[in-house]
Amino acid sequence: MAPLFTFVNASLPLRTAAFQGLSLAPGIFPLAVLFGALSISNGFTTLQATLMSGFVFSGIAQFAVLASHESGQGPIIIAATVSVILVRYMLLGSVVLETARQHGASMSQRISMALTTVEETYAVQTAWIKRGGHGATGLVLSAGIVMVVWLTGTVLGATIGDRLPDLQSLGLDYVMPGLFVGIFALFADKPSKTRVGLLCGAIAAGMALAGFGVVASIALPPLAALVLGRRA
Amino acid sequence: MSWAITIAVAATAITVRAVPLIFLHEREAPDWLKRMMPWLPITIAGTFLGVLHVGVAGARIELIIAGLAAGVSVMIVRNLYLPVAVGAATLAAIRYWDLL
Repeated sequence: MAPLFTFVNASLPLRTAAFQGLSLAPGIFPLAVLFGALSISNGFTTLQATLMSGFVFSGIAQFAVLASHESGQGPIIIAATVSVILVRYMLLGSVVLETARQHGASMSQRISMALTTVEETYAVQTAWIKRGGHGATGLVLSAGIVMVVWLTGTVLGATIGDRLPDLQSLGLDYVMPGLFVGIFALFADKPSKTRVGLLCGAIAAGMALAGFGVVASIALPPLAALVLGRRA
Repeated sequence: MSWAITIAVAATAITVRAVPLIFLHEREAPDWLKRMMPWLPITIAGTFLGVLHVGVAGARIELIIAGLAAGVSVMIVRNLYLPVAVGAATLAAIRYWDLL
């Protein structure tokens, strides 16, 4: 009985990690479908849309690619835009990789985690750890499932997007802001963090109203975290 | 052109994501990074919360109202995708009944 018990006990955290990744599906799947459908109407093929979802793996950056392409920008300008949007993943990726190191991740697991780092995957990984999960396999699994959902949605949208109802009339353009509300709630686990998050939100909103939304997105999170880290 | 864009953005994304991998290869994060790590997720979440709710000029009021509904829902049940459902439903209702 002992080995069976050990097996069941060991598999439970992994199952939780898988469910944790799947819990994002209702939020990100429609967004991926929307991206796939819009990619086709913007002149990309299903393969190209899927490759973008696999490698860029960031809703905001991918929709920015489509918007920039639609406005006639070339590859260099579009790549520069993507790099500006993704630059925050240099720091968030460091946080994820430090977590990976603490959980004994191998090199291939660290590469996998680096390539799947977004706020959403970090949120599900954090939630899994908070529920008692331990080990790099669970971290890779939860993020990997998010990636699979994202790719599946993209392929579906690219394939049958023209037969889907108007997703905007269903309010599905709220998916990305809504996910950040959920992510905020997950990370705001202490009153001090809630206050800091709300303050950042207020400053960022003010900057966005003044036309500096991109600057706020890039500069505010690391600067605020750096200042708060020094004070701690 | 679409292939050039796909390859360019994919290469850019891989490069950006590889930076921390190379920087932290076989070593611990430096102290300054370790100290800011606990705060980084909430500062990113807060910032994007602000930018995404007021950054779209054409749908600002709609998104703020949806955001308030989503915020209330997440205060009742702390959940990752409940605010998405509540916010999207609010947005759909605003548009369906042309409330604004």
